[in-house]
Amino acid sequence: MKSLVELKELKEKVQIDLEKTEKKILVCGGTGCVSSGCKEVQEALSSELAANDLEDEYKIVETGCHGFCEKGPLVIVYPEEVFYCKVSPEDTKELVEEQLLKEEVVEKLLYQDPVSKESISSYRDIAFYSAQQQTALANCGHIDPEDIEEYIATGGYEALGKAVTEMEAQEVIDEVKEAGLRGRGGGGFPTGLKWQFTRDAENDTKYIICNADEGDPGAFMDRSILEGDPHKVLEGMIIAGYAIGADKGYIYVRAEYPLAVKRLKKAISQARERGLLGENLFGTDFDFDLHIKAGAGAFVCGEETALIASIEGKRGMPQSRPPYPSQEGLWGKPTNVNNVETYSNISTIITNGADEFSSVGTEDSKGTKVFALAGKINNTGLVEVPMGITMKEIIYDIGGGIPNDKEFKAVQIGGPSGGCLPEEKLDLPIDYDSLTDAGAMMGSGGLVVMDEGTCMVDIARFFLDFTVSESCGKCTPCSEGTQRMLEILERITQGKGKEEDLDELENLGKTITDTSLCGLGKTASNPVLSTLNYFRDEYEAHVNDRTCPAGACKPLIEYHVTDDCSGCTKCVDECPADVISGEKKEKHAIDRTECTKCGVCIDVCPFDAIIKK
Amino acid sequence: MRKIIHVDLDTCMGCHTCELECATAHSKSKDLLTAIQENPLPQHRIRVESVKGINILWQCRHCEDAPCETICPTNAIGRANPESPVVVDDNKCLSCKMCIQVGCPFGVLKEDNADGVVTKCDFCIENLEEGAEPACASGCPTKALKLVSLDELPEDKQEEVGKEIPTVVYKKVSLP
Amino acid sequence: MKVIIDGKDVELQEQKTILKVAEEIGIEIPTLCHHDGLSSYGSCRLCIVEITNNGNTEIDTACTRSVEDGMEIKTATERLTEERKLIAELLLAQAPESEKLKASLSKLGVQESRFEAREDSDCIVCGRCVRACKEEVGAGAITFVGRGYKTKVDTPFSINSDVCIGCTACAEVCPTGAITVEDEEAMRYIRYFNTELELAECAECGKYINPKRMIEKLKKEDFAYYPEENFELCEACRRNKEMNKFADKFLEAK
Repeated sequence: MKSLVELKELKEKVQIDLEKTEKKILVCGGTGCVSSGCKEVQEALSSELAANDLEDEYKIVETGCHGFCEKGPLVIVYPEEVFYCKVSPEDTKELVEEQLLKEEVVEKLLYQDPVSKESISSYRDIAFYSAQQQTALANCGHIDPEDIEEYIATGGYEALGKAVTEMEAQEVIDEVKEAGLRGRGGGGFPTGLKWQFTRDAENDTKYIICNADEGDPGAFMDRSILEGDPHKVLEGMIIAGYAIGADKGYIYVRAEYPLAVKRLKKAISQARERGLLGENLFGTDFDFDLHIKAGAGAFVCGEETALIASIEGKRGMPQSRPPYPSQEGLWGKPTNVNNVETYSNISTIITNGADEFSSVGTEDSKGTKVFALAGKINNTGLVEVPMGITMKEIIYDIGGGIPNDKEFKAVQIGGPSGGCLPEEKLDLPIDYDSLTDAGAMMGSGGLVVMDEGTCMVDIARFFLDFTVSESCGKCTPCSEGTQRMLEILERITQGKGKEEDLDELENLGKTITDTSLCGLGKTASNPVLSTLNYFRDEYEAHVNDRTCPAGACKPLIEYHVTDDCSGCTKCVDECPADVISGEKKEKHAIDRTECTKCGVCIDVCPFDAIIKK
Repeated sequence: MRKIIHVDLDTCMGCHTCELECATAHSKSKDLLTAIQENPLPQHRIRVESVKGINILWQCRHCEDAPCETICPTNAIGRANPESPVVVDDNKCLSCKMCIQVGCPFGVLKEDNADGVVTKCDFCIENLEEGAEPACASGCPTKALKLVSLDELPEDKQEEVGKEIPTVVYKKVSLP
Repeated sequence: MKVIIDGKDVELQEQKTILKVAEEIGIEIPTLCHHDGLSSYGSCRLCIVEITNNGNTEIDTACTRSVEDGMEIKTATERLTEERKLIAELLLAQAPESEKLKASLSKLGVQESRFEAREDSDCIVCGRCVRACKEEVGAGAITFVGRGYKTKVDTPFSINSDVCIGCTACAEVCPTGAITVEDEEAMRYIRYFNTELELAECAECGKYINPKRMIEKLKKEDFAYYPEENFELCEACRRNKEMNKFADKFLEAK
C-alpha cells in the first residue's frame, strides 16, 4: 500500500464488487454457534443451494460471532437481512425453498419476542441488539473475517493510513488521550497515557504487545473479536506502533483458541501481501511487522509482566512493577501492552475523532464495553454497551432476565478477580470506578448471572478454586494464602465451618489484597470479600445453623418427602441409589443415610413432593 | 597510599602468634580466652609453615587483578577502591566455592566453618580504616610483620607487589 | 533525591532499593527471599513497607522497589506488623520443621502457625536456590515445578541432574535448610534434587576435592593465569607447591 488514495480506491472497488454479490447468506461461525452445530447447518445450506442451482447466485459467508449465542446457530439472509435463529440442518431445505426461491419468510425460524410473542425478522428490532451500541464488535458477524477486502470495504485501514500520512505520532497519542479510552483488559489504565510513557522512554527498540490471553471462566470477548474481526486488532496495533515508535509487535494468544490463531495468521499474511504490514507503510518510512506467540493457557500470563516473560521463553511468572513494561518490557525494551478490545477501539477513535468517541460513556469511562453474558440469564451471548448503562439494563433489557421464573440473586462481574454484586447494586452504572468502589471490577468483561439457587459461599469457593490452581506460586500471600482461604471455604460448604472462620477469611483476604505481587493475587480475594460483604447471612447460616439457604451445598441439605406425595412410585423406580421406599398410594420415604443427593427424584416427581432443606 | 604487610623472615621465629591473633580478631568475642571456647572455633586467615627450614608466612596477597574477584559470580569478592584490600562480602557470597577451586593460585581461600561462606584475610579492614595495624602485625612479638606504605619500599620492590607470584626474593620479603 | 523513612530525612544521589537505604540508616526490615548476592525477586513479601507518594499510599516490597524522590516510607506500622505476621505464619506452615526458618522468624515473634502444617514440606519457594543456580553459577540445574501452592523446586523430571556442577550454593542459600549435601567417599549427594556427582581427587594427596563436573566447567572458562595442573590439586597442595617454590627462590637469593 503506497498511499491513502490507493487504499480508498481499493475500498471503492471492493464495495462495488460486494454490491454485485449482495445476495448472500451469513452463517455465524462464532464459538457458541459452532457448539450448537453451525458447521452442519452451513454444509446443509450449501448442498441445498446446489440442489436448487443457487450456488452462483448466493454466497455463503462464515462470519465471526454475531453475539446472540443463546439462539444459535444464527443465519442471516441478505439483501432482505432476515435473521433466523436456532437453525438446524433439517431446516435448511425449507429455508432455501421459502426464503430464497419464494422470497417468503420462514416464520418458525424467526426470533419470537418472549413477552409480546411477536415474530421479529430483523435482528435490529430485537431488544438484545437494539439496546447495544457496537464499536469493537461493529464488524463481528457482518463481514468475512478471512477476507481483508471485506474489512477494507468497511473503511478498514483508513485510520492507519490517516495516522501515518496525515498525523504526527504525538498527535495520534493526543487523540487517544482525548478520547479518554481506558484499558479494556480490566485495570482501566488510560491508554493514551500508557502510549505516552512508552513513547517517552528512551530506546531505539520498542515493542507493541497485544494481550489476547483471555482466561476468565465464562469470558469470550477477545476470542470473538479475534475470530470475527482480526484486522481491526491489527490496525489498532500498527497505529500504536506508529504512535510509540515501535516496529515490531507480538500478539500473545492462547493456543486453546485455534480458530483465533488461524484467522490471525491469515489476517497477518493478507496484511503483509497488501503492504499494510512490512516496510514503508503508505509510502512513509514507517515499518511495522507482527508475530503471533501462542500461550500455553496459564491464566497468570494475562498479567503483563508474566506475559512478557512467557514471550521471552521463561516461566510465566510476574515481576514487581515498577519498572513498568513501558520502561522495561520485552527483552528489557520499552513495551506497550494493551488488550484486544482496547486495540479494537483505536481505528474508530482515529477515524471519527476523539470527540465522537468520548461523547459516549460517563465522566471517567468513555466509549463502549464488550461483555460476555453467561450464567442464569435468558440471552446468553456477547454484547457491547455504552459505559454508564446500568447492570439492570444489561441483565433485563438485553439479557432478557432470569430463566425459569427464578429470582435474581447476584451478578459476578470481572471474572475471578471481580466481585459478586447483589440486587441492590443493579442500578449501578457500569464504569471502572463505581464497580471498583462496589467491591467488584470491570475486569475484561465476564458477566455471570446467578439466581436464587446459587449458593454464594459455594460460588466464592468456585472462583477461588480457579485462582488457587492458576496462581503462579511465586509470592506467599497468593500461592499459600488463597489456598488457606479455599480450605476454610471448603470447610464451610461441608458444614464444618467454625465461628472464627469468617473473620479469618476477611483477615486473609485483606492481607492477600494488600501484599500480593501482581494483579492476580491483589484481586484474588475479591469474590470472597464481596460475597462476605453482601451475603454475610449466607455464610453465617452455613457456619451457625449448618444449612445452605440456596440448597446448593450437598453436605448441608437433606431430601424430604412432603405430604403432597401421592405414592406414584416414580421416584422409587428412578432413584439410582435405590434409597426410596414406599408402597403404591402411600407416602414414600427416603433413606437419608444412603442418599447421594443427586436430585433425580425432585426432577421426576410430578407432584413436587420432594424438597431439599 | 596502598599499604602492605612487610615481613622480615629472619626475624620471624615461627611462634604462630599471628595465627592466634588473626583468629581472635575474627572471633565473635575478640578476646583470646573466650574465643578459644567459641563454637565453631574462629579460624585464622594467615598461616605460618616451616618449609625447607624457613618460616613462611602465608596469606592473601590482595592481588591487583585478583582472580578470586574475577571468578566470583555475585561480585561478593572485591575491593572498595584501588587502595583497599580485597575482601569478601559475606552477605553476597553464595558459597559456590568456585573461587576456592580456581580463584586463588596460592590456596589461601577457605570455607568458613560457621556459615559456609568463603573466608580470607581482610587485612583487618576496620583497623586499617582507623590507621591501626592488622592483628597479625600488631600482635607479632618480634615485630617481624609490619604495616608499611607501598612508597616506603624500594622501587624495584614496589613493582612486585600485587603480582600474582613473586619472582624475585630478597632477604626482606613482602607479602603484599 | 529526598525521601523520608520512618520520619528520618534521607538524601540520596543514586537509585537504590528501599531495603538498601533503610539498611544504611540502621533500620532493619525483615527479609527472607532476599539475598545480597542474588537478583531481587520479591516473593516472600516479608519486607513490605507503606509508601506514600503524590498523595497515594500503597504497600510494596522494600527489596524490589527503588526509592523515588518525595517518597515517605513507613517500615513498621501496625498494619504492616500484622500482615507480616500472617505471611510469616503462612511461610512457617510450609516448612514447619525448619529450625533455621523459625530462627529467622523469631524477630517477628512468630514461632507457631495458625495454619495446619503442610505434610512433607520443607520448602517455602523463595527461589534463592533457583536464582543462585541459574543466574549466578550459570548451571540452571533446578527450577520451579508446578503451580500455585503446589509449586516446588526440582530438577527436570525430578531425576539426577546432568548439568548440576555440585557447587552446593543452593544448599548454602536455602533459608529453611531443606537442601543438604553429603559427601561420601568419591561421591557428592544432593538428595533433595535426586542428584549425585563424582568428586575429583587431588592429584597430589588423593583427598577428594570438588566435583569433576565443576572442575570441567571451570577449565572451559578463561583462566589464562591459572596453571593447568592446579585444577587437579586441593588448596593445601596448591599452597604447599607455591610455598616450596617460594622457599627455593628465597634460599637461592640468600
